[in-house]
Amino acid sequence: MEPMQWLTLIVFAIAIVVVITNVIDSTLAALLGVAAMCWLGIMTETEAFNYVDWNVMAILVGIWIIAGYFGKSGVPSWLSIQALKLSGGRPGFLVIILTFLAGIISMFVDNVVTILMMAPVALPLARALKLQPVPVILMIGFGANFMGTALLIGDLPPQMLHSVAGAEFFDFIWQHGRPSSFPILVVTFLIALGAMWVYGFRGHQRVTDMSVLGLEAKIENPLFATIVVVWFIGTVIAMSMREYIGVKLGFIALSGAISLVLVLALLGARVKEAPNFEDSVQELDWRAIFFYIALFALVGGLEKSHILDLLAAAIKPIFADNYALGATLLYWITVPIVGIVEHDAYILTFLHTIKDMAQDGIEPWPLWWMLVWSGTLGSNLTVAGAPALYVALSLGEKEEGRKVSLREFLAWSVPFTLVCSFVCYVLGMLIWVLPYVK
Amino acid sequence: MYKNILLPTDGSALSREAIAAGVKLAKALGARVTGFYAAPPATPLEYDGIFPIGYADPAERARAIEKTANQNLAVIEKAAKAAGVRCKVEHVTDDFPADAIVAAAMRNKCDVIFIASHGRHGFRDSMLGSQTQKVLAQSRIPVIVHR
Repeated sequence: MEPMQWLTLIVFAIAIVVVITNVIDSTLAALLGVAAMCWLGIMTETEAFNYVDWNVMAILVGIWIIAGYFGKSGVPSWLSIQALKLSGGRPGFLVIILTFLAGIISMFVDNVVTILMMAPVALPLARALKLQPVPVILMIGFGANFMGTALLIGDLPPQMLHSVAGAEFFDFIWQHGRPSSFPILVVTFLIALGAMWVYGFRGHQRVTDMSVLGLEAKIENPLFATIVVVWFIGTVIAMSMREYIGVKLGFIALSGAISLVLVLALLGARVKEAPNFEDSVQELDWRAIFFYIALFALVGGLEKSHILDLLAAAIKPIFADNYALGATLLYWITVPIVGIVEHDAYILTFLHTIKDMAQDGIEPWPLWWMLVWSGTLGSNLTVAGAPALYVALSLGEKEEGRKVSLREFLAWSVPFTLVCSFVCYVLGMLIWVLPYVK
Repeated sequence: MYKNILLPTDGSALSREAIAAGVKLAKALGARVTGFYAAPPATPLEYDGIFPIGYADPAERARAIEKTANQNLAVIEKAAKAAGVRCKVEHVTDDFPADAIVAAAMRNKCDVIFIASHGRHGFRDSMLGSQTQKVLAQSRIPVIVHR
């Protein structure tokens, strides 16, 4: 390796280690890493800017703005109360339905936002049904984190796949004549939920008279809720039609967001429950947005220095000699790694590495899918892997007024992650990897 | 001197010895006792230290934890009743017993914690840490260690 490549690798490694260990704020660490790469001449500031996928950033900001309004519309609370009715007063069944609901919402909404919008109802429900709040909110966190990758909109890894590999909305449902992310993850999710019910949520006493719980569903302003839901669905449909519309996804997401803001502003006092634009912009997770910007630039530095080419060349023989073994190793090495390190950086690095291997004749799509799935499922292992779980854990601790030990957390996360990872691995191998083995 | 003595228990034989001594001290001082037990959370897994050693139906396990808590606290109630000492008991769910003990002492306005020491040494002690040592380090009220 050239001295400049060593230098790039050292800066990247230091930045990632600081991000993982949280010695200083992780976003600051990533931004400092990018600045260091620019000052050291690894790349110019213009190149760093150009390595950022601003289309992905626009998707994030646009969808987060709409999701912010959705969270305040009262619809998530209403859905949670419907979940209680559907459960028939069975506490264990309610947890499973709430987790499923979190999974569905997180396919369109950021994981952290999903948890924040469900917690205000899920926690009182848990209390009313005499369930321990911590496992309930953790399950919601697992569900939200899990299903973000099922479709293009809900999380950064699928958007990175769109950025690096060009995966479109419907590719997440059906691609190359076979089911892809959405069907595979839904089946995996349902099996995992069944397993978790058996593992930790059966045997609770049923509440037959639910009126004693004193919980009711009420949407304060149906006009506001209807507009937000219609706009959300409309934006998602427009994003799914991107290839026909012929513009970037980020532009569609931002158009949906600003037109929603305009409509709500025009309705004025009739939708007084709606936060004003300034508040909704302030509520965006700007720290996360800057982290993702820095991440793209950091990995761009690796690309510029051809380190990803070297990595691709080093691991290519494994995939060339035995494709199934290579995919298996990629999957099962990724699961524990993303459980303890920030998974977005890892996924982005290997998405690019697989792209480089594709230029040497290695079929990339099965590997891209296996990487994205294992990278998402494995991140449920600890709070270090996924910010959404940190939020869920904090809410649970606050609700119970106590700290949650690592062993208590692992008692829920390990079984969930193992079942998900195993089921998804089997489906991924059968549907995606083995058909491509020569 | 002391008016409200916190008596934490983990159900061990050493705890029972400390309970007997603590109740005796309360009687001598004309104080009351507050019995306390920090139960582990009702996860489906049962742990020995940091290692999972078994699985139980979660609802069954919650009932078993409740039963154990009541049994351990009954020892304190019985000893206090026999000595004619006023007694109140409390149990919480917490995987950090030392934190829970210190918090319980504050919550119940206790003026001393009377606690047993297991005197663990070596690897096991470094892995688990001594709850008594942690109480000694964290408590802002006097702690009497019974050995």
